[in-house]
Amino acid sequence: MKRALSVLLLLAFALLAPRVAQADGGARVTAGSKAFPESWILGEALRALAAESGAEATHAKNLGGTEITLAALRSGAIDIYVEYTGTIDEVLLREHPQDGQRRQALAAMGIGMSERLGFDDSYALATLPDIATKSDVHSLSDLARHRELRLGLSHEFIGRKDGLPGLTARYGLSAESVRGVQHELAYEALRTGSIDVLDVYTTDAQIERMGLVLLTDDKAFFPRYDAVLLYRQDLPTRAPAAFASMSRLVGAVDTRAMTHANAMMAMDHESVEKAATTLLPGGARAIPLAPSAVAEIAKDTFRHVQLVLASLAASILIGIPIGVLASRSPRVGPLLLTLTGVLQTVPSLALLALLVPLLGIGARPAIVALLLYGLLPIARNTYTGLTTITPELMRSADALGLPAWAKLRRISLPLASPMILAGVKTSAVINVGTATIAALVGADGLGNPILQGISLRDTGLLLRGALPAAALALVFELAFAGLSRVLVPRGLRHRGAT
Amino acid sequence: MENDAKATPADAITLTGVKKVYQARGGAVVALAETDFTLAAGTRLALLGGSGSGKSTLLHLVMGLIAPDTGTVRVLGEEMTPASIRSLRHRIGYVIQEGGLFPHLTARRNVAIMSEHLGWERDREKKRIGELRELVGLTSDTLDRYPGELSGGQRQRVGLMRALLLDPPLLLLDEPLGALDAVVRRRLQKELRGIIVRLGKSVLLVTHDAAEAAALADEIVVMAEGKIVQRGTMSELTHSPKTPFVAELLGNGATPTTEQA
Repeated sequence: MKRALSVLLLLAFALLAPRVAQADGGARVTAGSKAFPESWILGEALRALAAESGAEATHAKNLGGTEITLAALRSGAIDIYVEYTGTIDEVLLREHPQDGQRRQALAAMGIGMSERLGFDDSYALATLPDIATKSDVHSLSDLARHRELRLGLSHEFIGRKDGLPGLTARYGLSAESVRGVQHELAYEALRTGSIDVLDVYTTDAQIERMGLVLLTDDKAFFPRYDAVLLYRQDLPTRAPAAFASMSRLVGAVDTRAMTHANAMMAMDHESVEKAATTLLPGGARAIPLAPSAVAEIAKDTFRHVQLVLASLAASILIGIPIGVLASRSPRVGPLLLTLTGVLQTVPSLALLALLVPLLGIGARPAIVALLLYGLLPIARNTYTGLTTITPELMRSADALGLPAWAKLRRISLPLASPMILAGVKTSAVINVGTATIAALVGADGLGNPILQGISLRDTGLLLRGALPAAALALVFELAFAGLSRVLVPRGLRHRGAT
Repeated sequence: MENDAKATPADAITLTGVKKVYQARGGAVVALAETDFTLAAGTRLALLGGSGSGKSTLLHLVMGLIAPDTGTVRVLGEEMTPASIRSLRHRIGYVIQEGGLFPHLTARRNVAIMSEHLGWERDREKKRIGELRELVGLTSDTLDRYPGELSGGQRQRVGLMRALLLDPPLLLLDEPLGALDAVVRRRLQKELRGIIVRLGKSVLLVTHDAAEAAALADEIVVMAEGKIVQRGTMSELTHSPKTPFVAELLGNGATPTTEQA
């Protein structure tokens, strides 16, 4: 589907786009972006510039966090993306080096770094004007004196050395209430009065529109977050024209331009393609992809179903043998089941961060994560189904003199089938919900509109993902009711599991 | 092998110095004290006793479901070992309460599990099932139903068909008629006896019901607390019981000889 779509687009380019002089005949370039609107806009701008040079350009959008994005870059799943110097220092280098040291450290990992794009997207703490006036809080030192003010901070900010921990040490912050809130939701929380202070990026569109007061960093704590391009070192030689075209962003995007592009998306609900167009240097033509909403929903839903079915099939192929093994060995059995249970408790973002270095980005890590989450219900129900067959029936089965495999296939598994099918159904319904995480590793699906909807506080966009997902869960329920009529042997249907 | 001295080729079952002890929470439980036991080929014998008497343990040893702690179990002239167990089971028919039918298969496929597994030709299977159906007196469309759609007596007959499919020389009957009401039960006892006598099978029956033992077997072994208490015909046991327990067990409901076909 996705391939068909990109083939169609390529055809459209070939027919409609004016030819640029030096074309990279068929070079493939994948731009990446992290899971926030500014990153998407820059990723989309990179894609448009690469496409303009004649490369076959794609945009792996919405990757979940710096670790996943960097792993994707190192594994070659993406070729280029926009990162911030402060993030590079914090996540990669864990110190505060000069540009030269940064380049050196990155080069050791096979990554190149460009000059600055021109805007600085630093952290800052911000509050509403009337709170600032009432409490007389204008700087971070002032904030340290007002313990009663409630902080709503993004999870990344709370965790980073150059975030809350460093800030606390430098200013002696001791707020009574610090809550982790998703960044875009924090603005809503501030507006409705459930928090008083939040962390912002200095290019956030909401700062201007809500008239927020940025608290002065009077002890110069926050490092600079200058935007730069990070790219695989082979890119300039592999796709020179595309690289040259994308490099036109360097020195060409100032803070005002970036804030404006952000506001287009966050406030005016414009498409990421349209917002990206405003960043393109003069002469560059945007190639906006603006498929209709219905086509987008259909594409995301189809992709979602693909992910669920592929991972479900794998869960069944692995889960049933685990259940069978567990039922046959009183020693290994409980251990195996506990292991599948532990897998379910691993947070999805952590699991994905582990999988991306091994499997790259896209459908593969998503399917593996989903298959691991889906194992427990299937393995446990298989085990339960097999171990609760009545002793009389097991004795009758043993007395026949069948080999173990034939006994399993002809007698035990069919007797356990209603239970196993119930496990598969549970797994499927859980997976329909969990598959939204696939969007974090660029595997698309209904997670895309949901995550973007949350980031943009766009309920319409969010529902575009959430409603089809809910409908899918229902469809799977019904499908399994029908399937059990076909798969469960007739003799077992009225009596339930034996 | 050296302690097979007492086994003769004419024995269907020979237990020599067999003992089985279970480790339970309260300590060791002797399920079967050291026991010697034989069943002559072509004879019908009942193990009679209450729960915990050791009769089921003995049966499970003969089926190879459990292994003895000491001693040897020989069935149809062959020692029961992990290597011989499957081929031996093909030569033993096992009948349990309600026939032990698998609810997911039709009656016909319950009967035919082993012929399917062994890859019999269709004609051979059809002919054999036809013979057995007439033997137990079932109609053809009964066989197309699932166990849940059959009466208790019908299930029992299907179970017997399954046990007889491979024409085994030895039948093990494990409380076979326990789930049936009194009237059906008495009729089936009579029929079952007629069939096994006609086919000349060796039969080991396990039951707690003296009347059933008398109706189906010629010889009775009374068991209690993991030991054989007394062995003899019904009239021997009733006329000269060795212990008050034997007398009591046979006193209630034993109606010897009157119902033999």
